[in-house]
This record gives sequence, structure tokens and C-alpha cells, in this order.
Amino acid sequence: MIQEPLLRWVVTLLFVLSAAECAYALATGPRVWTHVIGQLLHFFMAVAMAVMAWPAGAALPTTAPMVLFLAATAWFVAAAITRVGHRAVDGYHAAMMLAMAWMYAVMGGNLRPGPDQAGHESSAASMPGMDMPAVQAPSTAAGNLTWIDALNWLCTIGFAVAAIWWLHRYFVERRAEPHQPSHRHLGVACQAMMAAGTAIMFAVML
Amino acid sequence: LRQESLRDCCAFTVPNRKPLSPVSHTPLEEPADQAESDVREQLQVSAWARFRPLLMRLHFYAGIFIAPFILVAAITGLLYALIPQLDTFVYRHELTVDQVGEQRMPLAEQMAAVRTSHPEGTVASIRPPASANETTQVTLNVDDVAPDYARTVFVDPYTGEVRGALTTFGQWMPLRAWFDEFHRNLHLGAVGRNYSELAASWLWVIAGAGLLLWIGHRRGTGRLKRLVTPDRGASGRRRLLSWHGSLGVWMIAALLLLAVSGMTWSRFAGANVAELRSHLTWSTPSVDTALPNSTAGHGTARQGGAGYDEGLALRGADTVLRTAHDAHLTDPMWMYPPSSPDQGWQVAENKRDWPTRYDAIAVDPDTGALTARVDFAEWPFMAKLADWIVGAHMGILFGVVNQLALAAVAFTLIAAIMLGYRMWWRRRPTRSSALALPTGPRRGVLAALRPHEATLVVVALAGFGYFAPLFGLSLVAFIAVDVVLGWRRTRSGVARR
Repeated sequence: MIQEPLLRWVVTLLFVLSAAECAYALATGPRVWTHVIGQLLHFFMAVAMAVMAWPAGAALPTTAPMVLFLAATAWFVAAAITRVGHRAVDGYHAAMMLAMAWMYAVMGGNLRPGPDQAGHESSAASMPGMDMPAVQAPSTAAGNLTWIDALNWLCTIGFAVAAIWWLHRYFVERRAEPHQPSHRHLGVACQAMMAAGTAIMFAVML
Repeated sequence: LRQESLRDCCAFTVPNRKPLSPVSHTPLEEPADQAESDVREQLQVSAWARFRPLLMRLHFYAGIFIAPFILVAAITGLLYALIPQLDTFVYRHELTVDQVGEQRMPLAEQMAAVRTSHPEGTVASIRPPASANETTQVTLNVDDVAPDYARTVFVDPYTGEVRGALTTFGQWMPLRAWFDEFHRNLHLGAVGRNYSELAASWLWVIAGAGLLLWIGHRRGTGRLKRLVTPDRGASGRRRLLSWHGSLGVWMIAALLLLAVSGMTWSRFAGANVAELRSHLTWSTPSVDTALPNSTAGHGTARQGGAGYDEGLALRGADTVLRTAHDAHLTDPMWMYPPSSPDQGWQVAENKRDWPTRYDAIAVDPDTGALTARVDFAEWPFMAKLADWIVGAHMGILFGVVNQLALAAVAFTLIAAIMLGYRMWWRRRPTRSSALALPTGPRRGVLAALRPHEATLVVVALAGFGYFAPLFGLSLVAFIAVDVVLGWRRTRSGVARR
């Protein structure tokens, strides 16, 4: 969960709007099963992220969604392999789903070594912006913490860059098709919002 | 990535449908197709032509909806700027003595007189007289006043006569405190602070956009040299615009200063400003009052002695005052008694008019030894600058000249706002018998920018919106309303066809 109320609302708004766009695309889009599954996975991701930002959401089990998003990663990896011409975008979606699974793994406290593994207790490793399960950080686990934090940094920067890229892409499309109403480009705007929300979620874990 | 791959991406693109008319670009002033052609043309034109519609839209809509808050802030600020002299006059009985005596009584005896007549609360501070005819001010933390307020007791330093007690806000007497709070929150508590935060957060945006528009207008009409002078020969809306623009140029620097300093006091943005200052070590340094031989932690002694025997806390007041004078501290200064046995007194200059003086020392009450010192000269430059800007905003940095300048800015701002509304009202359709509101600049201004420009604008607005949450929330509200209006126009346009 995000402790700062304003940031929590910002993230919630970003993902609720994204979920709404996914639902809209599902309702009005083609009934091609690959399209439906892709939209559904992104809808679940947006809803999961919005829920995760809140205190009640942080208390929910993490294993099932982690497995779901690992499966989603596999789906988009498969799509990237099989669909020539869409590899970059499908690869990006796979990375995003993997980041979701990673976030659930970190939230569940499974990756950070506990006191049993180290044999003695040390100071707690806090996550300033997020309420995480109590985690002990033995001195012997410093290396583990470093790579976890490094990955979180990577996700933060990566999705921040992605958000800017999608936003830029949105304006490129609007400029390329000035005749089209702006809601025709909502899908790309939704990508920017999801990337921005994900970057914020990872940023508060640092 | 190719454009096609994006459009066909399985997850996120809206499937292609029949092309709709470009109703999302429906302008408020021009026909839709004209706006479209404008957008296309602007892709090839100068940076000014691309940015002007965005600036116009920001200035127009923020001006229409936020200007009432700025207007209220200007009026209440004007009243606040004019009040100090009245405040001094109204409370002259408490602030001054009837007759200047030969010798001042020791502070300990003055304190005894104060506590005899006002035993309530705890002593928070003592302000010795800054001139021969002033009273000593003793501020008490009491429970029967509003939060952040205190009771100040005024005692004649020559006779020990208690001349009165007032509910004060910091160093402000009740009248000035009332207008101060009126300007800050309209006496509506925490909710009321939102008005001034909205005004401060948007003021620099409106003023900055307005300045650029005015410069662009003057350049476009070949009258850049007449940036600060209105067109006397003009009439109608052109005359109003020339006065609106010229007045804006006159006060732009002051408005930016008022906006920046106003945000430091605001509820949400103010917290972020304080955090930013702390991160950048721009915070005002404080003197460490912990006594050298004490075993307890360090701290400052401004808690007013709560929970600490007052007799012990106030001991050595005269010794401390002597040490302060020996340390070349000058009036006006405030003395803060220790709040625990391991702390000493804090004595701080508080001369807020130019040249400002804020030297502060900590003194051991038993020995009179100076244990710590922080001079104003040692403050970080940005902390000094922040204090000067705040002092200028409050009209105390340069005394009467400062007050008059603030009053002039307030009058100018009120006039510019009224002229702006007058211009807006003159744009309304008048052919129809029914009342119709004036239309605003057209939509789709972001799409007229180059993609990287639009991206930068969005990122910058989002960043500032997070830093100043009320700015961000109101901007999101504007955009949401704009999107709904655009959607309604789209639907009605499709239905008509």
C-alpha cells in the first residue's frame, strides 16, 4: 500500500482510468480471442495495481496474483515469439506483467531473507513509502537486498521512461491523425498511465 | 515501432472503426473544420504560433475560474498591508508605558508581577522592551485560546504594573492577527486555507502565461516598446486589453514573489516546500540549547517549559539578558526559557525589517555562560532569501514603503482582474435574446504542439501538480470537465448527422 494519501489517489486514478479503457476496448473491440485475453490481462493488472495501493489491498494474499501475472508474462512472451511485427510491444507487455509478478513477490516477503536464514536478527529494512510485511535484514543478506533494490530501481526508471515514451507516442499519433477524435488514441494514453502508475509503485518501494 | 504495429497491438489499441468527424477538436470559437486546418497549419509554424493557443487557454480558463480566489486574496492582502499602524495605535496602552522611568526593574520582578495577575498557563517567551517607552511582553501558552494563539501579558518595566493581556498570534496583536488569518483562510480554518493555496499555486501560471501572451501581442502588432504603456487612443476591447496587459507587466515581478512566498505558507504545497528546503539544506538553522554537561539529547527550548517547574525554568532571566547584551545581541529580541533541566535559555534577535537581524544564542542560566550561537550571517543564502521574500510579502521588510508597494500591487491586481472579466464579458454572443456566456479559446491545443513539446508540457504540469496538489487537482478537474464537454459535443455532432 502507498502511505501518502495524495500519491495513493494519483495511482488509483491512473489505474482506474486504465481499467476503464481496457473494459471499453473489451466491450467495443473485435471478438478475437487473442485480443480479448490481452485486454483481460491488462484489465486485471490495472485493477490489481489500484487495489494494491490501498491498505486493504496490501493485506490480500500475494501468491495467486503472482502466479497469474507469471502466466500473463508467458502469454505475452509467446505472443512476441509468434507475432512477427509486434515483438517490441508484446515484449514490453511481457516485461510489465513480469514486473507485476515481481512486485507481488517482494510484497509477499518471500524474496527478502528472514531471521531464520541468517541465524540472528538485525535492523529492519523498511520500505519508506509502502507498508510491507515486517522484514528483517540481517547483515549477511546485504547482497540480497542490494539486488532487490537494484531491480526495483531498474523498474522505476524503466517504467518512468516507458511512460514518457507512450505519452510521446500518444501525441505522435494524434498529430499523425488530426482528423480522428482524441478518444481514438485512448489506448496509447492508457499505456502511458499504466507505465506511470507502475513507476510510482516501484518508486515508493525504494 | 511502426505505426501499424502500435495500432494493431493486441492489448491496447482501440480497434479501427468508421472514421468519426474530428469532434474532439471542436473549437469553442471557430467551426470544427477551421480548427482542424489550424492544427495542421500550426505543425509547420513557429514555436510562438504553436505555444500561443496553449498559453491562451491556460490564461483564459485559469483566469476565469481561479481569479475569484486571487481577487479575494488581493483584497484581504490589501487590508492586511494597511493594518500595522492601526494595530499599533489601537493597542498603544498595552504596548507602551505612560511614563518612562529612570531604571528598569529586573526581569525576575516583572515576571513575578505577571504571574501574580496571570497565573494561568506556562511562560513561552519574554520580550524585553526594544525602546525606552515600550512594555515588556510575556507570552503565556494557555489552553483557552485557539490553536497557534497565545496570551501575551504587558508589564511596565519601570513600575511592574500589568497594563493588560491580549490574545496574540506570534508577535501580532489581535487586530493584525485577525486580518492575518482573514488573508490566510478567511477564518474558515483548515478548509479556508485551500483558497489561498489555489490562488498562490495558479497565480504564477496565470501571470506568466499572460506576460508571454502580452509580449507576443505587442511583437505581433509592432509595439514591443510599448509593453508597459496602455494604448490611450484605442477603444472597446482593445483598450481593455492594453490596460490589462500593461498593468500585468507593471506587477509581474511582485506577483511572482507573492506567489512563491504564498505557497510556502500553504497547507499542502507548503509542506512540500518545507521538505524541499530541508533536503537542500535551505532551512533556517536553529541554535542548540542543550547544556554542555547534560546527558540528555540535544534540542531547542521553545516548548515553553511545560512539565518543568516554572521557578527553575525562569531562574537566571536577568543573567541571561546580560549575557545576551554582552554577546552584542540587540533589540528586539525574544527570550525562551528552557523546557527541561538539561537545556539553557534561548535568546534570539528578531528584527524583521531591513537590515534584518536574527542572531541567536543559548545561555546557561546558572553561570550565564554562552553555550551556543548561530548568527544570521551564517544562515544559508537561500534561507536568508526565503526570509526576505516572506518579509516583503508581509510588508515588514521595508516598512511603510513595503506596505505602500503591496497596496499598489493589490490595487493593480484587482484592476487587472476586473478588466480581464470585462474583456471576457464583451466576448459574449449578443445577437440572441437569451443570455449566453462568452466562449473561450478552442480545444486541442496540446495536439498542435510538436510531440516532444506536448510531452514536456504534460510532464511539467504533472510534476508541479504533484508538488502543489491543489493546482494538480484543479487542473485535473478542468481537464475532466473539458473532456466531458468535448464528448458531449462529439455525441451531439454525430447525432445531428
